[in-house]
Amino acid sequence: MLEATDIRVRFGGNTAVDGVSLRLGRGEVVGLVGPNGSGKTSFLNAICGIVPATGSLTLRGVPVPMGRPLKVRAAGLSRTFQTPQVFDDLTCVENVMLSGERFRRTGFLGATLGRRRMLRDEHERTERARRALATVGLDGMWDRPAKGLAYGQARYLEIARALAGEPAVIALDEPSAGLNAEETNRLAELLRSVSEQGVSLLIVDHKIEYLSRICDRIDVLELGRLIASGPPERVFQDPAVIEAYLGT
Amino acid sequence: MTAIRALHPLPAGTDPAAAAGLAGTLLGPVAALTPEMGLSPMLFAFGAAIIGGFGRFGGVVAGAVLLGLVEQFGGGYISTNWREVFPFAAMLLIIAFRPEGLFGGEARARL
Amino acid sequence: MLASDRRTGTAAPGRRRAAAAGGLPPVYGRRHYLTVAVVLAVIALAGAGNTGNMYQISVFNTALTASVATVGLYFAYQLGGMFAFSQAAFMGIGAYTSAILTPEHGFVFAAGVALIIAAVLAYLLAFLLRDAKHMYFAIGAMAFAEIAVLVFRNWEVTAGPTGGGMLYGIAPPSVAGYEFATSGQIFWFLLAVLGVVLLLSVLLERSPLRRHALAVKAIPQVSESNGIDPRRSAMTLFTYGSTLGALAGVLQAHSLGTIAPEAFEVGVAINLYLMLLLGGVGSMWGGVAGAFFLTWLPEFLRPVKEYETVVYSLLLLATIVLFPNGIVGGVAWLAEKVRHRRRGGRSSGVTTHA
Repeated sequence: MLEATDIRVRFGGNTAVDGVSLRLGRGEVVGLVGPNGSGKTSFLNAICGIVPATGSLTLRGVPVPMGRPLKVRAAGLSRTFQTPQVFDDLTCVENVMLSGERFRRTGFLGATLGRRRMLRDEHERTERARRALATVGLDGMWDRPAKGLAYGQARYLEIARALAGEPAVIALDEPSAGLNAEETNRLAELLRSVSEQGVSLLIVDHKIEYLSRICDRIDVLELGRLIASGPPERVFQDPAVIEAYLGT
Repeated sequence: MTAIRALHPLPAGTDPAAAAGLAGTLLGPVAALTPEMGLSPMLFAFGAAIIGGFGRFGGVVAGAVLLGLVEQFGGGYISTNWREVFPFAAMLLIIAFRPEGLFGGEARARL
Repeated sequence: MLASDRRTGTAAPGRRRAAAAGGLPPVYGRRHYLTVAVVLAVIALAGAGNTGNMYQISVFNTALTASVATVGLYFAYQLGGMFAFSQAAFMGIGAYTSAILTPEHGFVFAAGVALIIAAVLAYLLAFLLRDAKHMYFAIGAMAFAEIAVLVFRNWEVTAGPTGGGMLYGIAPPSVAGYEFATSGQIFWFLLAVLGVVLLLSVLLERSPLRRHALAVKAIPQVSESNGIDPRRSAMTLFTYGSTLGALAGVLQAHSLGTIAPEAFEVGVAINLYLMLLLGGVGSMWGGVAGAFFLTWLPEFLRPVKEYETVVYSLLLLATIVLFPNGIVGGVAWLAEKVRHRRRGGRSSGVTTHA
């Protein structure tokens, strides 16, 4: 589904990501781990197109240009951010309705001349959004402003938004940050069920416990390079990996 | 040279009131003073700061001089009636193509 | 009538709240149309009582024209996120174009051309400044405005018979042969135009454009990651808002009969901003409220002529302090308090719509 090859990210003199390649199959869950500063978030930002990077990217078999977030999104890659980015001024359902693959008739002409079809599309989008909200358990808040959400709920809202666009791949940046053990477990369950629907997941995180449970594969970065890749049990026993973590 | 009429925006730390007073004094002999006249020179000042890059006194002065020059030469070589347009047009174009100014400064809004 | 009337047929929890909006987010509620009707009715009633008095009516007319401009400013600034200090310049573009073309081509054609030209110019300006950060955009818009005023003054096409950009003897508006000659007739014409503007604007509010605009304004980078083009959204809204400004200019030219470049300087744009801020920057109704408020304020101050400036400033200050969300915000706050008291203290938790 996703194929990133030889991604390099440079900031000034520093090389944050030094030729990392990664593949995700359909429905595969990959955890991207590594000590702080290993380049995990930079890698994520690079494939999402929001930082300049070199390398190549293919989604659903189609090559996607680097550095173009709109094109990346259109090709089927959604993401969540380290801190939940919700739009306070909008209701929860509107937050979720923001993502989508078809943006026809969302502009001025759609609001005026093409109104009937625009409203029909809006009904469809609302349905889809509410289903996504139901999947994450937030449907009760659908018409409440997003401003009132608790931290954990905002996280789920972000995931619902990523889901609603019917992506091929969702990239999650530290989704368990700020959640306690019980909430993390619930998150893990949610992510597992999402992947069972055929969506591939790339999860950047620190909490080894839940990653071991739900990931098909773990890739480890250190100082911008891939130092290990394989099933969780094997990778987390790898002496090189343990050394990398202890070394920080 | 009417470059004098371009006011200098202030590098950090200068007492704003004093500088404004000084600018007003400099401006007085050149243009007739009216209470409503605050806006155009202010725009000039901002334009000069943008061209020269904020926070660098030398850059800002250079920007002011540049705008004054643009006005004079535009007026001299192209048309006297329209001479006031040239500095504003220059400002517009520079903001459009190089918001960080000719001499560098703040980055543009690359989303 | 509209597709929103039909229920989608699938049962879902919490449908009662959705009933008003037909299964769509709350912003699609029909109350917007009601507000338009109420606003128009209020103005109509207030004005109808005054049609005999030519002076009073002309104040109404000024307020109505300003309302069109401030509604445009709301779209350009509040939704589009752009500091449209060019709004007065676009008023001028509308005014001059229409004034020049009317004698030969009639009002409707001239006004139409004026709007088209303004839209094109607005789009170009927005395109030119698409990468400019907020303050830089503001200055770019101001530079554009200064250029526009200089053009009005010096270009032989707009300079007029006496030069300096002063045009007079502009014909009053006439549609399909009917001429709105007196101030009273102009009042009804302007009211109708404002009605159309408000309806069109409500259509935009009840559409994806609104949430895209708000999202882009809040966090452009995240919007982009979700597939929304921030620049397209901002440019569309700026163009629409500036075109409304041009319409306001057309109305001003034909209702006053005279125009001069001074009426379209940057200071006027700042005044329009003041109207929007005082009225409540969060909604188009704020634009209308602010326009009427600020147009009337000098009238109320007439009795205290000597202290006019002081009282004016004090009133502005008081309004800003007492009504941080503008007049509309103050009304909404009051309404909420009344509702709260009537329900015996139970909070409704309903979001205020834009």
